[in-house]
Amino acid sequence: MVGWRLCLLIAFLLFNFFVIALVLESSVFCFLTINGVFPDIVAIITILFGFLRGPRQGAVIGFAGGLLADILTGRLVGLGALIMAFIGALSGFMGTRFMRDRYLLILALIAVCTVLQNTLYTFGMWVFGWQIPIFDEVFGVLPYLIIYNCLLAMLLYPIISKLNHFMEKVAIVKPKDNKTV
Amino acid sequence: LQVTRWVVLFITILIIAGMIFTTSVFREELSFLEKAVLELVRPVQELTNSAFHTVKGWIEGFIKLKEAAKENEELKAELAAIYMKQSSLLEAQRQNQALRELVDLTVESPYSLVAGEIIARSPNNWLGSITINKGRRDRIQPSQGVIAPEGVVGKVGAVTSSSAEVILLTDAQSAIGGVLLSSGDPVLVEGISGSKGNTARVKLLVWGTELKVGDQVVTSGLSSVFPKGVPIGVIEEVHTPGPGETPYGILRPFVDLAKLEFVAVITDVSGLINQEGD
Repeated sequence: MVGWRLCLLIAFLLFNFFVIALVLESSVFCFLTINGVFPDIVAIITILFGFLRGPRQGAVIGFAGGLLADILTGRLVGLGALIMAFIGALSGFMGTRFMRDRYLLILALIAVCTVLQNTLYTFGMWVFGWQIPIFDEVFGVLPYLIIYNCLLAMLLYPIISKLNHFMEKVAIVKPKDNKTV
Repeated sequence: LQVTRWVVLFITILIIAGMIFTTSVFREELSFLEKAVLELVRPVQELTNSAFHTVKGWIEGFIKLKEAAKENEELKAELAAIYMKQSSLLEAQRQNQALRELVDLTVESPYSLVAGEIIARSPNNWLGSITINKGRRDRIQPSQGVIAPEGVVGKVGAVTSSSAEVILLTDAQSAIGGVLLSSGDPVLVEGISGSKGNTARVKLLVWGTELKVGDQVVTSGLSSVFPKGVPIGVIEEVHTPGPGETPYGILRPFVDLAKLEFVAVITDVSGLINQEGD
């Protein structure tokens, strides 16, 4: 059984993970761009965690990370959170159906989710009255974003996989009567 | 229980939609939660930014070191030490030069300026904004103009006590009044979403005005945000959509917004001559 202390620990770990990701994104990766595009680390973390932990936790993690990113951006707060929750749930759904150690599948998932997330975000911006030159800009940003996200996902996957392994390990609590709950 | 779940989900989505709608328009004041998160993250961003630039300096130094080592093998060891020091010095010198230009701008300017350092950029490829390390306690207010030695950078967005968001002139929410330097015709410079901070759109305000590639655009001085004649950018392309439709231009800002490190905020416009409100 997962206790509230464990939930708090996991939430604390993830919060820090997202804060580090967002700080890196806003102060380091914005200078390390490919054709002016920087990676979306929060999306990568959401997709990978969702893939490893299932749709429900993927959605929660995505919502939390997306909301934090929205608050830091200060505009359209909630839009990124909703989309990221959907992306987390989607990758979680995929994770329950496919082998988790296939890198090619993970890369394909990152690419598909990146396209979906950005398409939904630009659509959301349009719904709320923002002008988006869809064809020029989406095609100018998306290909580079997919490449950058995939490259970074390959580096982040072993770390997130280890963190997930740790989470799974501590989730098994052995009470005094030696029963595994 | 199933019905309750759906009701909760529906209410949550309604609340989030309300949140998105409220924050989709220009806001002068942030919510308590947003302020708290920004105040919490700001020092970390500042630290990371400074650490990154130091490491960048080292890496640049290392690259130069390798080149020098090829040319002179005997001095390799000696060069290593010297170059590491030199790279840090070069970085400091470059920053010094940028600051010096900004100080000159502040001293020479007839209006009040507050210089600020960029501590973060928007973690979103679709929104063009930066965060500076000056806020309300430095007399920064929303909607104030932001410039660099080369020209216009953008306008101040939301402000906290110690930091301020600057909406770049290339952001989709940005609109700045300008004039064509060649003819004096008024134009509107609007940002483009997802343009990666490179370009903005120039819209004509007077029918019959001609846009030409290479035309320079400067601020009109018709607002209380920017003084007259601050350079905005140069027209790179002219598009004519179709018969009856107004042509528009694509403008490249004079300021390299991607490499910007320091900016100046126009805090007091009382020195501006005969300005009218927007």
